[in-house]
Amino acid sequence: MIARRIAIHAVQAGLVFALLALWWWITATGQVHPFVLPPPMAVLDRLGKLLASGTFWSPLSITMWEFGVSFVTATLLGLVFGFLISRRRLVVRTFDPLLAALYSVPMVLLLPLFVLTFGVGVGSKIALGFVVAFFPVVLSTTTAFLTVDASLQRAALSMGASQSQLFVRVLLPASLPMVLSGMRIALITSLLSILGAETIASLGGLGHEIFARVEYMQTAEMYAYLAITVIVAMMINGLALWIDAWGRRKFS
Amino acid sequence: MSQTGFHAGQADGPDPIIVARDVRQSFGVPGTPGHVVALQDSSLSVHAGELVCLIGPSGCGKSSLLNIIGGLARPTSGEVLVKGRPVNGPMPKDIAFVFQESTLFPWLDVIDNIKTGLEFQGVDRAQLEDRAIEALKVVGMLDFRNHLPRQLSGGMKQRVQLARALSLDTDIILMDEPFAALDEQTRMVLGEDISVLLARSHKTIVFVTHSLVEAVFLADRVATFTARPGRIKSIIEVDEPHPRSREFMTSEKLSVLRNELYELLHDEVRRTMESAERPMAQAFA
Repeated sequence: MIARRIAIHAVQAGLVFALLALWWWITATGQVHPFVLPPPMAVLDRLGKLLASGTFWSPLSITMWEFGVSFVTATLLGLVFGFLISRRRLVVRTFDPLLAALYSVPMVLLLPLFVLTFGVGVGSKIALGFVVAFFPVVLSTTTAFLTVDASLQRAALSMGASQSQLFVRVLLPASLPMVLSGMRIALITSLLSILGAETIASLGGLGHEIFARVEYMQTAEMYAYLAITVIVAMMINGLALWIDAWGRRKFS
Repeated sequence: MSQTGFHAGQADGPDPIIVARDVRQSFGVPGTPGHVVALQDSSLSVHAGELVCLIGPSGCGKSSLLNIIGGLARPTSGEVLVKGRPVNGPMPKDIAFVFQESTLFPWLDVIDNIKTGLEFQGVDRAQLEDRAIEALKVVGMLDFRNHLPRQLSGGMKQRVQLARALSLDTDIILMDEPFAALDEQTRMVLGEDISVLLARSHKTIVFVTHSLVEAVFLADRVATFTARPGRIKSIIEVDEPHPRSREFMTSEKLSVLRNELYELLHDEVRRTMESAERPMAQAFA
């Protein structure tokens, strides 16, 4: 088993190394103009300087602020609305199809409207992140509460559980895995939407920086920012996957 | 030994602990195609310390009657008295349930499952641990107290469910086909445990089952149901003290009673099959 795991990691590391080697070969042989694709060492050099100088903190904190505010508010409202909707079958039948239809709208199309309404700065990104994150949370929460095993609820009531005990001790933990899955989707899609929106119209943030470096013809620095963005996105995604897996392992 | 006819539901002797009077349950509006009578007017009295089995074809309303007695469902008409008081909802101080499916909370280990039930019932926090351990000892599951439900076999889960019901220390336990999903051997062993428990604790148990042998082996009285729309057809008495031994399982007495029960149920089961699966019934004819 351990041998197999080592083999898997070896293949993965080999692939990454091969891509880097290919990159190096393309730039070294002059296949592509260094303005479009600078050599790996130049990018690494810019990345090192960027990290050392700390200038990346400002765009990173702008993106994280937009992401944090939109994700937290969308999740809280999604949970509350999802729970309230799930309480009555009739309300579910009324609102669930509407929410599902809205969920299928590509929210990034609303960006021009948000820029018009909330300005080109942080506000429009928070608005976009919010609408992207809200729908998966509210839909998964509604379904999660609706599909809690009725026999668990019956058992709890037969043992004398009050309504608040039923909610906190049975409904909440039983629906947690599905709620967490919805939150994970919300987390990733809202982060991606915010980064994308920043490259289209913004005053700051990682996406803004990536676009601006190209405008200023500093492609090596653009790649360095790209690397930072990928690392941050991977860390957030990894954390979300871990919490999601934990929820499923523990509560179902 | 068998007592059939109009007064079948009325047990003799003084103040029964459970009295169901003309209990009826139906769904939908009468006169419309959606109208279903799950249980026709049924009456049943159960005395303290007695184990009564409810047996009948699928859909005959035996589980409905159990849920109505336990306050988990409301009858369309009729009433149930438990200890002389009308049932209007769950009575956690008097009635505990053991369900067919596992209703253990999958995110809690065995002992926390039992402690949670006790907390719901309103037991003082200081007593939770001792009460839970005591109940787990009785069913022989103490060594598994820190296991999660998914780490247990079907039989072990049902033992824990039984422990949870016992820990609540109610006079009455209602069991809805608790062993239906288990294999024959496990079912026999758990049946013997229930009989021992009954002899020791003077609990009152109403037990829904599909198994003729299980019914005769466990019950002091067996109430048989007619096909849907069900009502209690007759009641058979099993005059054998608890705890019942393995010898009783293989005795002449048990098989005679079992056959008698089979005769009573045979026509009803056939009727259920004919109304539900006509081609099947013809193939058997």
